[in-house]
Amino acid sequence: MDFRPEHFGGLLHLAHPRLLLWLDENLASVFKQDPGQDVCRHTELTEGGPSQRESLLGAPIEVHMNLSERCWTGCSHCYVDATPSGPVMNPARACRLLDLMADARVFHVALGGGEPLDYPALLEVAHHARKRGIVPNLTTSGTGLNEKTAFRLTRVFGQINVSLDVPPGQGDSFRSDLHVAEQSLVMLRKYSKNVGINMVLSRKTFRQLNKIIALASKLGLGEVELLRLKPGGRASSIYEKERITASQGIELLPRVLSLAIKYRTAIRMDCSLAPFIYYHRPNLDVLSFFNIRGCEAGNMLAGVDASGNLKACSFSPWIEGPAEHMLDFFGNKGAFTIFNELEQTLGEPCASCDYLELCRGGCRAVAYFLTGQASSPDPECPVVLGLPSPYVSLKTAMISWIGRSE
Amino acid sequence: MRQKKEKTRFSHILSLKTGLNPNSSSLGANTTWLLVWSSALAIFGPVLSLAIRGIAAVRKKDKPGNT
Repeated sequence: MDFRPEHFGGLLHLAHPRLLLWLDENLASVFKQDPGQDVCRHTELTEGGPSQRESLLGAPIEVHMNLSERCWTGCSHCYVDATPSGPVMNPARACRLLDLMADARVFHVALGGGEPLDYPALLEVAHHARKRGIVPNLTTSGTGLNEKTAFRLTRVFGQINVSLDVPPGQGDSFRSDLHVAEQSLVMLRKYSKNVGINMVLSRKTFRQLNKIIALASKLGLGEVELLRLKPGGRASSIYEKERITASQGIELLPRVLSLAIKYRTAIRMDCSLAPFIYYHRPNLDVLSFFNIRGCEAGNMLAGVDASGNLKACSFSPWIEGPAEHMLDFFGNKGAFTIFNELEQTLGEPCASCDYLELCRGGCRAVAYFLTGQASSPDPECPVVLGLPSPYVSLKTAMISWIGRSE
Repeated sequence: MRQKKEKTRFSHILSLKTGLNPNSSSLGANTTWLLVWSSALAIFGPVLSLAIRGIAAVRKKDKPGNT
């Protein structure tokens, strides 16, 4: 159990069950050892800051760290443009950055790449994170995994996901090593139940959604995480051809929920898919309570690339500075300005949308790539596209029907 | 005159996040909760609050110096 005070009360991190709880001041007071001594950095750093963002945390809950931008698989949708000769983070530097995160009381770190299994000091870095009270998690293609490594990985990482967009032998994929990915999943699952699949959604892979969830269920995996294709690195050249269509975006949430029931598998969706969830107008309180949120870059989330640059999230096109200065950025309303001022700078239809506070205009990486403007609404959001929500259509039809009968 | 009873301040869990996110690029929200917990939300929060408060009270009591 780990507690971090915040301006609203505090965050309580539980290892078993794996939960992060936002507590109000009254409940948080039970866990504060000395309320005067351990004040939230948020209030110290942000006096007079230009932004009005009230929900800003004192530090991210998780940081995504790319240890290496080296990879031999050459996936066409790689957002970091990983190559066999890409930059690699020095392990000593990685551990120093983890120390800073521990000082800021970050709870989780997601280690990725490139291919992190090719990073020689992966286990040492992960053990260092554990030693400093941070839970390390891992995403890998599975290339080069053997039984011994699988066992050692499952001992230190909290959650391991293997990237797989299409079941082997079932059609076009961004990658060629589908059997390797499946074998890796089988190996990892032998030693831990905290193993899952990362699936990048494109207009081609969308058709494989059922099969991927079925495969996860068959292998007894804990979860599937669905990711939106992002226009970074090599993916920027295929983005407009491969992104999901508007009708697939609309179909996504109903399909995901029905598959979750059918296969009894937990399905996570990444923050950039939030507009496709909110389009169906789910209950705001439920969304807020379960943190089904859109862009939390620079607040709940931060990213560090293999060259040691701090970003608001891994996909952000903007480098904020060297990651060694992260403590000056966390909880600072004057930092990550593009992200922290979104609620003021986003135009219509976001400005008047009921879901603005949670959605925050969709994915910045996508919006900037397609419009060239940092604070433009996500152009792929069905609401921005002007597609009528089924809920609104039903409501309008009922109102007009009632009007007619009178 | 009878003094007005002070209003009890209830403790609240404002929100929660389950699981761990291994992805190096997103926050990862478990959308299954939309389905499963929508109807149970009304009772889940207070019950969990009570449980945590109970655990915390026991821990406080067990600390040396507390009687």
